Amino acid sequence: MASVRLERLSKTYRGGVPALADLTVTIPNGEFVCILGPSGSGKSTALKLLAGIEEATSGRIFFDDEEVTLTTPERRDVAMVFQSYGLYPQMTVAENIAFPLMLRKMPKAERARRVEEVCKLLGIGKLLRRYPRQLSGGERQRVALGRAIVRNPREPLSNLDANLRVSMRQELRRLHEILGATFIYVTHDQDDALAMGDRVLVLNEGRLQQYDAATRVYQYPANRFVASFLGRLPMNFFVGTLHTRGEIVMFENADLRLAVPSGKPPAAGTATLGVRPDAIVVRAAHPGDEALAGTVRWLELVQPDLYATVEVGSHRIIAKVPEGEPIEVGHAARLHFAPSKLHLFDPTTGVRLNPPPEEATPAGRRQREALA
Amino acid sequence: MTVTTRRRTWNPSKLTIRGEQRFHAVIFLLPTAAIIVGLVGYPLIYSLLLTVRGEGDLPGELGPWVGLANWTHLTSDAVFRQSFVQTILYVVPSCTAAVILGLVAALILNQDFPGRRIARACLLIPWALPPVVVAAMFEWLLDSRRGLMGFFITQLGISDHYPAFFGGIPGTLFTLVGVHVWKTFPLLAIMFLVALQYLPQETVQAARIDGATMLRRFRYVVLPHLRPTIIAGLIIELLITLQLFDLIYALTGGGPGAYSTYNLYFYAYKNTFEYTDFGYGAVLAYVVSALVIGFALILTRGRSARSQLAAG
Repeated sequence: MASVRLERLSKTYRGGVPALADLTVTIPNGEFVCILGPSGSGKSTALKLLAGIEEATSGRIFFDDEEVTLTTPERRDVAMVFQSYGLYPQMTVAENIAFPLMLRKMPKAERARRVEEVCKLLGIGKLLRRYPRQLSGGERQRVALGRAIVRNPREPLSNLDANLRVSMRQELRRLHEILGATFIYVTHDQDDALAMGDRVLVLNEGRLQQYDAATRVYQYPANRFVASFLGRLPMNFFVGTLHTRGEIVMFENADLRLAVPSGKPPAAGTATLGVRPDAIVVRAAHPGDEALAGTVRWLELVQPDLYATVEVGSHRIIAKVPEGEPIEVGHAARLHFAPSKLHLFDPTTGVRLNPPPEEATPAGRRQREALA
Repeated sequence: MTVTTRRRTWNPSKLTIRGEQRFHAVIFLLPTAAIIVGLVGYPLIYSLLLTVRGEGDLPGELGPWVGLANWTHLTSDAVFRQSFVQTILYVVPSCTAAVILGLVAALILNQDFPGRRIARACLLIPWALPPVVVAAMFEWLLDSRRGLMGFFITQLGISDHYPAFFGGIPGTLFTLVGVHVWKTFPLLAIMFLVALQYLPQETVQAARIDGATMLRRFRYVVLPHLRPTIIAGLIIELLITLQLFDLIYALTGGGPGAYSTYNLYFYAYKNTFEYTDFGYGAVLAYVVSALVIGFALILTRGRSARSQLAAG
C-alpha cells in the first residue's frame, strides 16, 4: 500500500508533441482514482509512467516518500491489468497467475494456495487448467486481474476493458475494498470513471484539467473542456456579457438574461455560460408566464428521461422535460434554469469563473460513503 | 414407342453451379498438373527404373533388369557409410549453430539503435550471394599462406602460424560447416526477426511488471513465442544442409584425402555424373530424399508445432 505523488511529470515521445505535460498530483493511500480523458489525452502514458514501462522525460514519481522515477518496472512492485490483458499464451490460467510468485521464488505449495485463494475471489476456480485462448474475454480479464492482485503489491493498477458491465464495476469496487490498495484505473468512459472512482483525474492533450471527487467533476467542471467532455448530452453554451448588480451577477445576451449566484463575483466582461440539459426544465407555455419562451424543435429519449431541443432566438437549447409535462414538437414552451447549476467560463481560456462551493467533506471517498 | 434421350453435349453454359465450379477448377489446375507430372512424376518413375535396370548404351539409358543389386550394394559400400555419417556431421552442427546465430542476430536487430535498417539489410548479404562467389571468397579468406583470417589469427596471437583450414581431417568438414552456416543463418535470422515483431508488447510489459528480468522474459515469454518459428527454421536449415553440394564441390571437391568432406548428396553426384553409374546414383538420391522426409516428419510432429497450427 502506498500513496502516489507525481511532480511535474512530463513525457514527450521521440519527435512528437508532449503526451503528458507537467502533471502534478497526489493520490492518497488506498484510494480508487480514475484517470479519464479522450484518446490521445495522455492517460495511458500516465499509467505507463507509473508502472515504469515508459521513462519520464522530466518530473518525478514518488510511492510514499520513496522516489521511483528511475526504478525499473521489475523492481517497482506495482501490478497492472492491460487492456488486451497481456496473458502468457503458453501458460495455463494457474501458471499465469502464479508467474509473479514463481519469479519471487515462493515455495510451490504456498504458490498453489495463493492462486487458489485469488481464483476463488474472482470466481475462476474452475478454469485453472485452461489456456488463455480457451477463455472468453471476461474470463481473460479476471485472470489478468488475478495475476495483478496475487502478490499483494503496493499498487494494483487497473486498466480494464472499456466495455465493463456494471457488475464488473461493482466487482472492482469490492476488490478495492478487500485489498485496500491504491487503484488507478484508466478509461475514456465517463460512466466507468464516475461509477468507480473516489476521485476522477481528467486529462486532455496531456494536461491536467481537473482532479476532484467524482461527484464534483460532474457538478462543478473546472473548465469548458471538462464541462463538455462529461455528461451524456452536450452541455448548452451561451456567449454573453456579465454585469454585477450588488451581490448578484447578471448574464445577458440577445435572448437570455439570467442571475448567477456567485460567492465571489467575477469581473464584468464577456463570458461563456454553460448549463447542462438536466439543469433546465421545459414547461408548456402558459399565458402570462415570465420565463424564457421558445419553440420545441424535437424530442429525444435518453433513458429514463425525455429531453427537448427548444429554439430560442438564435439558440438551440437542450432541456429536460419533467414527467407528464405535455410538450409537443412545434409548440411553444418555456425554459426554467436552475440557478445553482449555472457555470461561467472565460470565453478565451475556458477556465471556470464562478467558484464552486467548498467541498463539504475533504476526501471524495468519504463523500461517496456518505452518499451510499 | 418413343425413347427420349437427353443428349449430353459438352456445353459449359448449361452446367449447374457446382458443375461449372468443377469445370473451372479443372481448367485452371490443368497447366500446373501437367508441369508437376512432367517435371516431377516422370523423373521420379524414371529414376526408380534406373535403380533396377542396368546400364544402356548411353549414360542414363535404361538397360536390362538387374533387380535390387543397386540397393543391396548400399550395405557393403564403405564410402556410402562414411558419407552417411558425414552427412550427419554436417547437419547437426549446422542446424545448432544457424539457429543460435539466427536467434542472436534477430534479437540484436530487433533492438532500437541508429542504423538498424542498414544493419537489417546487410544481414541478408551472405544469403543473397551466389554459392560460387561465397566459395571463392572463403578460398581467399582462409588460404593457409596468404588468407586474411590466418593473418588476423596470428596478429591476435591466437596461433603463431596460419591454420590450414582446408588441410585437416576431419577439420576441413567443419570449415565447410562454418562457411555454410555463415551463408544460411541470415535466412533464419530474418524469420525470427519477423516473428519477434509479432511478439505482443503488452505481454512483455506484463512480464516486466510481474518482476521478470530480461533473461526470464526471454525464457518465459519470448522463447515460447518463437518456438514454432524456431522449429520451422530448424527444418529449413536441415533441408538445406542435407542438400549441401555447391560449397563442397567448389571448395574441397570432397577432399582432403579420398572422401573426408563427402556427404550423401555429393556422393550421389559423383556416382551419377562422374562414374556415370546412374542406377546407384539414383539409389543414393532416394536415400537423401528418405532422410529429408523422415526428419521433416519427426520435427513437424512435435506437440508445439501441432498445437500452434490448431491455435491458428
